[in-house]
Amino acid sequence: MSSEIKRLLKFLIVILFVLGFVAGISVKAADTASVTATVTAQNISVTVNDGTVAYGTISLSSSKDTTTSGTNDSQTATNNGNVTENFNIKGQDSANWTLAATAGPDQYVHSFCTSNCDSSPTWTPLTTNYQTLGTGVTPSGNVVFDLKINTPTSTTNFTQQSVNVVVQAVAP
Amino acid sequence: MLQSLEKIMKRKFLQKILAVLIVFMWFFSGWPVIWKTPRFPPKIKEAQAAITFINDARLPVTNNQNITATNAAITPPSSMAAGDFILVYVAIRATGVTITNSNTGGQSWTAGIDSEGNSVSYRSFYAVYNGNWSANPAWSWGSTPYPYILWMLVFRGVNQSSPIDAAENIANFASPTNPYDVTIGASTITTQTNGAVVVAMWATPDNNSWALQSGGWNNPNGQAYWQSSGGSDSSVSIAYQEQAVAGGNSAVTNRQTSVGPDAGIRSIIALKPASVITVGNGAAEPSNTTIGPDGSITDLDNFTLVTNSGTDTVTGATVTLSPAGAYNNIAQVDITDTSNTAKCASVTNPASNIVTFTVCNIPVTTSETTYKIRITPKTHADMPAVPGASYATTGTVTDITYTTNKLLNDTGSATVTVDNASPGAVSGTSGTPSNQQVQLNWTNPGDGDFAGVVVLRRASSVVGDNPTEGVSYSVGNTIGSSTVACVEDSSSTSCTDTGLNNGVPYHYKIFTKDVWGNYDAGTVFTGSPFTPQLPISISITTDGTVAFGHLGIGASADSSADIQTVRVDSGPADLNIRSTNFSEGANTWTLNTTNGANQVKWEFSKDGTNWTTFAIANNLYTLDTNVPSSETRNIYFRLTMPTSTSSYNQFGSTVTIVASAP
Repeated sequence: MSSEIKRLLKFLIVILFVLGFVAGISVKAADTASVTATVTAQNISVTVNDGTVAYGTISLSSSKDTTTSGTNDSQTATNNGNVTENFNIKGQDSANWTLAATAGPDQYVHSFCTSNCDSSPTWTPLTTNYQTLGTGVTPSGNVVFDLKINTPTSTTNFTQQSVNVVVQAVAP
Repeated sequence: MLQSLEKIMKRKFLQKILAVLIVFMWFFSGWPVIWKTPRFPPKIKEAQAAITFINDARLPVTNNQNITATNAAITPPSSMAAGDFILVYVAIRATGVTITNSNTGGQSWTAGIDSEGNSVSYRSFYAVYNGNWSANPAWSWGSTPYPYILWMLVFRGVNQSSPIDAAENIANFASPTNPYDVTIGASTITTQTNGAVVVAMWATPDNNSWALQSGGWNNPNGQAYWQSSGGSDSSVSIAYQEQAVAGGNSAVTNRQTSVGPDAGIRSIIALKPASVITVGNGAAEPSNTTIGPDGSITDLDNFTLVTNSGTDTVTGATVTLSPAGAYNNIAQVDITDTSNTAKCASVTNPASNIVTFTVCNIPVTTSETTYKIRITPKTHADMPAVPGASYATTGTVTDITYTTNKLLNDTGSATVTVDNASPGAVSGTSGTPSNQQVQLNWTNPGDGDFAGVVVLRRASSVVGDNPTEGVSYSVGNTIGSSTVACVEDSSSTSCTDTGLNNGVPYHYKIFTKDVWGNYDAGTVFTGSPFTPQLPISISITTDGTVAFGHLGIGASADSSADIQTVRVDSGPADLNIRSTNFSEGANTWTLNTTNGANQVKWEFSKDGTNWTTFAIANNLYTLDTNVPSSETRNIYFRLTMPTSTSSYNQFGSTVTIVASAP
């Protein structure tokens, strides 16, 4: 501490002392009460496990899914945030194929199923817009879903096609 | 054989003389110091010097002058002072004459026995010099001129009222044989007083030369003899010696060293020393002690009085006190005998350390008697004002009024501490008001005679009163405009002043007191005045918890659905509010005027409309003022979440409502 600061402190101490003396220190009775406030920042988060589906090589105008009778590679979307979430899902075009509701030339169908997928699945075609995958998923809760692909009826490109399927978590 | 025995005896004699000399020298060396100051030997010397030879004058003017006359006037020697004793020897080279004083010179002369023998007429005269010669005194011896010798001696310290200690003894002596010694034997006269001076005189009808043969005797101014011639010659020789102890004179031998031998006439006389009063220190002093104001008379000093001869009376005395200023605490000084009977008129309220007793009647005899100096301290009322002083007082007799001589040797006294000094002040004062009372705290001083404290209280005004020294107080006593709030002993460092009115500022001042009743100037309590009041209390009448739950990043929410309410249970009260930062373990959201990363905007309101931001954690903000008892105030909170957070755990903040007196 520099001597200047020390001098300033001394000056302040003296001033405080003098003020206290002149004014008279009124040591008054007092009481306190307290209120506790709590808050938690919302964390909306989802993970998909394992996050990779490899359908392999599939013939034109055929399909393959991730159910137990297919590649047996169901995906699990988990709420790893701290509030209940709704999950949405959407697909996308590949480099050479267009995502469509029905297969056609260079048009493929990518569907998802969330219940009884191994026995009596209901496949909903993905679009490039979000569709509801699950609702009211509590923290750490999950939604297991399967995917199914229907290859185009014809194609001009026989190379491997890769697409992303996006799962979105939103607050209800 | 006889010669060797004689040598041995001489050697032993010399050894004895040497031993006596060594002891004598050591005795007067003052080492080691075994007497109190002043040392004993100088005082002995002073006592021995009671009679001193001053000067002499002789006729004829020159030694062995050829002169004859029928009378002669002599010029007295210089350096005389009133009271000196003048002794004149007149010797005439003739018989059948009567020697008389023909001019007194303004003095009153007493003549000795007019004697003659062996062709010499002789007579002595003495007078006590009155300080003024009107003329040179003269003596005559008839109408026939004869050779003559006048020898005037002046002594100082001779008793003026009774100068002759042993009467003059005159006798003729025969012509001495070889070696022509003329001895005046021991105890020819009997001195009566210690320190008497014996004067011997030899006169012959021839101009003999003389030489003293006895040690310890002195010729006046070293002049061994005086002669005159005028066809018929004459000589006179004089010697004197102090006789330290009364009794017979010591023998003195004078030798005619030329001319003669001659028969003649001789005289011996003793002069009485002036009485000397010795003021002694006394065998033991009173005990040292300490007294305070209003204390009783106390012995300060023992001293003794004794005279070397006769009796007399001390009619006045001076007592010197010490240290400087000691007299300030003393009301009266007395001189008494050992039975505490006053021997001098008391001196009251001495104005200095020199205390003069002008009226005394203290008989002094040759028997040493002890007397006392006693002092009485002033009352508290008469003592110097606070803070006063404490004096370790000593006092001795430093002078006496007496007819002749004195030796002042009252060298020491007891030390009587007269304590009028205020005790030290307290320190570390503080006070705490509460409901109808004030608790006071302090730290006591370290004075050995500290006895306690008195605390004065005054409502609404500074304490301007002081306790009266010497007065003991009780709680509730009134001193001027102040009231005694506390009286505590030396072991106490706090007190509680009760029965006060709430809301009134009370001023306090604390005074220390010692065992002598001395108070200090007082110390105002740090923080004084103190205002007692009812204890303020508040409470939260709702659940005291505001849970915002989960809020999105950057979101804002208020607690309008969970309004908190504070109630002033005992007031009125000013309500202030503060908040901590929001935190969860290691992570914190700081408070600020805007939200940001790990930073929230946290607000409060008493109506849900006008909001105040907790801009700084733990800063007090006004919620409301002067809220009466039993009233409530709502508190709304609004939180704007951080723009980002390091943690999604629950954060919490404590909001504190602080009530204080308006």
